[in-house]
Amino acid sequence: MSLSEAQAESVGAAPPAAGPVHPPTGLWRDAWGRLRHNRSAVVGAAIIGLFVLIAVFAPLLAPEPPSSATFLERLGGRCCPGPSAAHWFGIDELGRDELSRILYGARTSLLIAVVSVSVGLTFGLLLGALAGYLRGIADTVVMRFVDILLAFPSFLFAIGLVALLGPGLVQIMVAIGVVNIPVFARLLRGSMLAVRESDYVLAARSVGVPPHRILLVHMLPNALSPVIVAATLAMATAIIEAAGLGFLGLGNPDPSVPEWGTMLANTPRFLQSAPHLAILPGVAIVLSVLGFNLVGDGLREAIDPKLRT
Amino acid sequence: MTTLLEVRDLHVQFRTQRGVTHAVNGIDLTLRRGETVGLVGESGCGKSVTALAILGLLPAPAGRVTGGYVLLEGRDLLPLDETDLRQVRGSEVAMVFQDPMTSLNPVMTIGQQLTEVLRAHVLPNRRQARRRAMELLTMVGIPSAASRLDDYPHQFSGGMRQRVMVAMAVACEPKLLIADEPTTALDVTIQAQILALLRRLVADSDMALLLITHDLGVVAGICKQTNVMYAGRIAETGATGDLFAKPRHPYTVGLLRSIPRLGGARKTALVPIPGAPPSLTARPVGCPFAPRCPRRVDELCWRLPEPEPVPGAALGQLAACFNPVPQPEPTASRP
Repeated sequence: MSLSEAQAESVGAAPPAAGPVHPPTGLWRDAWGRLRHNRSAVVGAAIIGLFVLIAVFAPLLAPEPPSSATFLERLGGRCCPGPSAAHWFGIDELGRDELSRILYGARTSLLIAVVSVSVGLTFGLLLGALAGYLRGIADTVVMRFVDILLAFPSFLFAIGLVALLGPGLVQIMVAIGVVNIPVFARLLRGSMLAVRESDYVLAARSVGVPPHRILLVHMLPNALSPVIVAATLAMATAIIEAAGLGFLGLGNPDPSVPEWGTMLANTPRFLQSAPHLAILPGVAIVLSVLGFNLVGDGLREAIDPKLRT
Repeated sequence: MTTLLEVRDLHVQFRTQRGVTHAVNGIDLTLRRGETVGLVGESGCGKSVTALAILGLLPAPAGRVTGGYVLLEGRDLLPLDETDLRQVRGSEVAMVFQDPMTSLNPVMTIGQQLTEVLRAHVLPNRRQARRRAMELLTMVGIPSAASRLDDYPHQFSGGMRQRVMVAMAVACEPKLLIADEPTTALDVTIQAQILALLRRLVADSDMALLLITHDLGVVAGICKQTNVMYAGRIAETGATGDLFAKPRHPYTVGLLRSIPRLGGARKTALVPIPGAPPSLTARPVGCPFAPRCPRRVDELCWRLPEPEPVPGAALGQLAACFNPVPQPEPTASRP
């Protein structure tokens, strides 16, 4: 009698003793738990939360409508009064309340970030999933297309797209979104390829799980985590790119919709007399970008190690 | 007993960047209904590839079957398209893989993964599938199955996960279960539990089991028939008892000599087989075992030996050897 057989018989089919019964905890819930204990991610989330609140309640928070230029006469030819009790952030070169414009500007920036990343995600995920799942010719075609898009420096590409589409908020969002498409597509394809070869996909195929479930239930959720991290970080980039476009004069031409980049663009002439007009929108940009970056980095740490097991 | 699975002259090749690998070179296998058959051999001899080829799961586009038949109850599985194969997988032939730590989807609960199999084949109703999943977990020996259905794989130990994998594989009562090194990644005590589980499942149903392993002890324990593979070919096949008592192929003898035995004479050293298995990138010329073979006959072994009955061997014992071992080697005999 062999060794293994002897053990098989002595142990028999007795089930092992019942272990402790765990409360059902999901993978995402675990990741959430780790994220909560990551101090910088919490700070980042707080910053984002603050900006979201500002964006939502801008009409209540802002002392003046963002396009009200009624203080022009009060400028008295001097540009531009700095912070005062009446106008905490001072007055801009057209006599508008700077605080109100920055508060309203949060709306524009967050809107651009969310919409453009959504546009990029939608098409990027579609292309990446197709390429990573189908392989073959579809993969080659999609990835060469992505390579072409990636060949352009992203900001230059966005400038070109805005020039092509014309100025406007929607055009900016589309341009920044399109720039993100190849990034997400390539990322998802890569992780799809890795997941495709995983044992659990083979195991699922070996028991006859249909292909649409293999793709949507087995592959996509496991391949998605790096894309989620990238999407959070892309929000930060989108805010910077929108501000950059605004700074270059390719921003939203509607002066009643304040945008931080455009506000910055108008300041160089007054940099000596009114530095606050440059500093304050700049601080707003930096803070919001910092928030998304902190959360993105925290997410990366929270999600990645678990999925590698 | 009627024949369930017949593999005839199966050839599998892999196209790699360094050329074509001849992973399986003409394998014959026969399983009767309810029978447990072992397929043993060293790593890389083509055991797992054979199993994947039977289920049509070879990694495309590199791996492909280049010849032979896989007949399941007389129906050739090789020409089937993906849709038809999907009906076969899980409901007629299912598979248990080597590493339970990576074979379960980490973002799905155990219950989701079990019901998925059931709903794909036999029980489209969600509630019924869940109830059946619970029965299955109980059947494979997982305590408090009802509450564990909503657990995720990382909350299970390796042995428990392998039980879940077995439950998934037998969920739709397949006629054939292929277990590819089901115990290799597990602790020795857990190995014994999983083997006992497999043996019980086979005994309680008319499911046949093709057990792929490199562990001769496992084969001796539960397989009726044993096939010894070497370099993508069958070296020797026969009833397990005959094969272990009177191995006729020099490779089988070498394998048996290289395992330690409890209670054996202490001074008998283990005898390793010299050399390494041949590279499979070249099409085999002559006996693949010849370079390592102590009984090599240069005038004969330039040809490829086919498994043939050996004079004096038991009925059904075939050895692919021109110069088979004449009598039981003392070290290979069992007390």
